[in-house]
Amino acid sequence: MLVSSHFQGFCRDLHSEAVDCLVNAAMPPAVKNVLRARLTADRKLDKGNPNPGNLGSDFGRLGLAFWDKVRAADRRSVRRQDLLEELNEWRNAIAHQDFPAKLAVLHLSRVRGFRSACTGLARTFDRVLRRCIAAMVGAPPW
Amino acid sequence: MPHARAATKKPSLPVGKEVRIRMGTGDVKATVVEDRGAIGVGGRHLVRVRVEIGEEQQEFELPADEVTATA
Repeated sequence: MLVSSHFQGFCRDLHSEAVDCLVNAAMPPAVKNVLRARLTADRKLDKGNPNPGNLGSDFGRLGLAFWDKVRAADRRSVRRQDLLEELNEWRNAIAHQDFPAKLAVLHLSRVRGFRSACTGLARTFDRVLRRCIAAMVGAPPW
Repeated sequence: MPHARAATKKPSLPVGKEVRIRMGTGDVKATVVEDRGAIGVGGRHLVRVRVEIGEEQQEFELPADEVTATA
């Protein structure tokens, strides 16, 4: 639960910062908040889990094929994406106390694997966003 | 990551504060619903606000220095 929650917080903050960088660089003042609303209203990361679908949807609003870029940036992202999916299944099972048959026993080593995958994905997300925003606005955002 | 931040003064915009924000060519009333912290460009403070546009409610984020507190 805690790993998923921390990862969600990181992804949400990264999305907020990316939107601020994009809007700040590109828009005339009258249009800025209209665009901010389109990019951050009803964001899945505000209420939902940081699963691959929600991440792809929210970061996709910024004009990039998010998971394609993440996988291209680091080939380990494929395995990490699978682990993230599994982490969210466990998170939901624990939160709702509803354990599907395929989730048998959760060992500490597996949880450490989830945490390691989130750390790796966080670094890759950061790098991908930095590169994409730099390409869009002409300067690295951070 | 986390990105280096210049220290910024926390704005006096508590959750629940009524504010006005610029939307397109006019101002609209909004309510602060979350302090997002100093995560904007150059460490500037962001807040999440709720606005009513027509019959629709929207929540989104913007820099605290682009928000005007009302009485």
